[in-house]
Amino acid sequence: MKKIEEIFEDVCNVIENSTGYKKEDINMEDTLFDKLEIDSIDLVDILFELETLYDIELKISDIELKAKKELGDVQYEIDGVITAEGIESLKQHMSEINPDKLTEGLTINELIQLFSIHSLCKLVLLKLEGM
Amino acid sequence: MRISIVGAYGFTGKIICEEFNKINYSYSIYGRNINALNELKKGNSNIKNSKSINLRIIGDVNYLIENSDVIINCAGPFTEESYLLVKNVAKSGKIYLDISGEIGFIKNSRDYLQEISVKNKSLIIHGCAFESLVSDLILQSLSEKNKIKSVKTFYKFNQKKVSPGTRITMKLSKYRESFKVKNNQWLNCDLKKDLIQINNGNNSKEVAVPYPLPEVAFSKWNFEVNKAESFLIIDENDSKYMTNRKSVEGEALEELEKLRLKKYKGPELKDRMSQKCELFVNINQESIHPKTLEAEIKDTYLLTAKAIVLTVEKILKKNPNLYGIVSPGQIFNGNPLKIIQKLGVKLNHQSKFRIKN
Repeated sequence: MKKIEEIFEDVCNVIENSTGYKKEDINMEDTLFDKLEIDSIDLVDILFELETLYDIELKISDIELKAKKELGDVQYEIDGVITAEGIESLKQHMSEINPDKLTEGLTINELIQLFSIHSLCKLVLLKLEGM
Repeated sequence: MRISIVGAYGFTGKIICEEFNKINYSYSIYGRNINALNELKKGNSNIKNSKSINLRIIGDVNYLIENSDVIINCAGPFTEESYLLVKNVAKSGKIYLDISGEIGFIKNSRDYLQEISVKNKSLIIHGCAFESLVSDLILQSLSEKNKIKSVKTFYKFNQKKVSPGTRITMKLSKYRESFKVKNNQWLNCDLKKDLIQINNGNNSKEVAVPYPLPEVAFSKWNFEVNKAESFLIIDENDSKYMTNRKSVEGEALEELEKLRLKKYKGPELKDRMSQKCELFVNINQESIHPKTLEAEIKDTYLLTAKAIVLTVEKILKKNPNLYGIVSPGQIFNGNPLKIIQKLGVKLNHQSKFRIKN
């Protein structure tokens, strides 16, 4: 099984090929949307390249999948606003995100701004583990 | 006839050139990048001339029009680059085709240039590309018997990799208005309010999000429909990340210049070969029950290239005596289903696709 450091290297290569952002300048904690200026259109392309590389299926919403799954029947979001239970689950399962930013009233659109390279690497790892 | 291809070295432009080479047509190529033009011209005897032009410069636009009888424009994004060209073609009595999927650009063209292009016997065909030609042809065929009252088109792609031009156009869409037709009037779309729950005949949780394409305009022009909308089918969870237009149009040019430096890559041949697009056309006609037709489209880039070649052939062999800003389906008035078949599109009249109330 691949280690997260190896996946990080692959992710950096894919991002460089897809967006032209130099891989040497990419750090694990960089946020995709703010720091690397990747938008959802770029992310779709990046996910396609990672899917091809690892022969797995990836969706943008998969990044928060584990936090959602953990809640079972408890609602994760209502009308795009993440519930208190959803926030708690995100804190546990997306520990790479600064917990100070995971506050009540956070919307799904705001959450995507917090996704980092680490989130992406974790997603690939989870999929490789067969989640 | 002097055929000119603008943006010939682009992803779809190259495939169009290959299709013209197959039938041994001669053409000239234009674009901004002289090196890319020279590279494409090397060893290709079908290419008569090549010239570097900038569609924002009137002198270049006039040169192109003066040296062409048929202009095929593949140089998107069209909103930012091509209005000057279309405006001057409208006055010229020449023939113009493009592969634009940008509804605002197409709407403006018809709103402001229809009269002048008819007066000068110019023929301007927008959206001669897979996403709108197929649905336009389906509607042309169905309208022969019963008047069309409303239409919704839905697209589902099995693959996420798009051409560099499409990627740039999609990234710039945040600067643009998106349209639908209601009560035969233009209205803006709202990503949340206009989202539709669907049942695609499988168990996946999918929704249809507004994604305005040229056929919305074509349906308004050709059939004076009461309602017309187009959608993209995506995963329900992914739809929650989508937001309405936020930016102002003036910023688009600045971003375009930055994006051009990025040198995006399009799908490789193997990806193109495995590409599949499902198109669902939900239609409401007078005197009959609403129904949904399903079309399966493979390799949308090749289909676009074939559509361009078929359209040019049709115009050159049989002058359609058609002027103004028209939809691509209008060129094939009389035998639309034959063209759908020629393009290799499979039609299914018994679709399991349903719109949930």
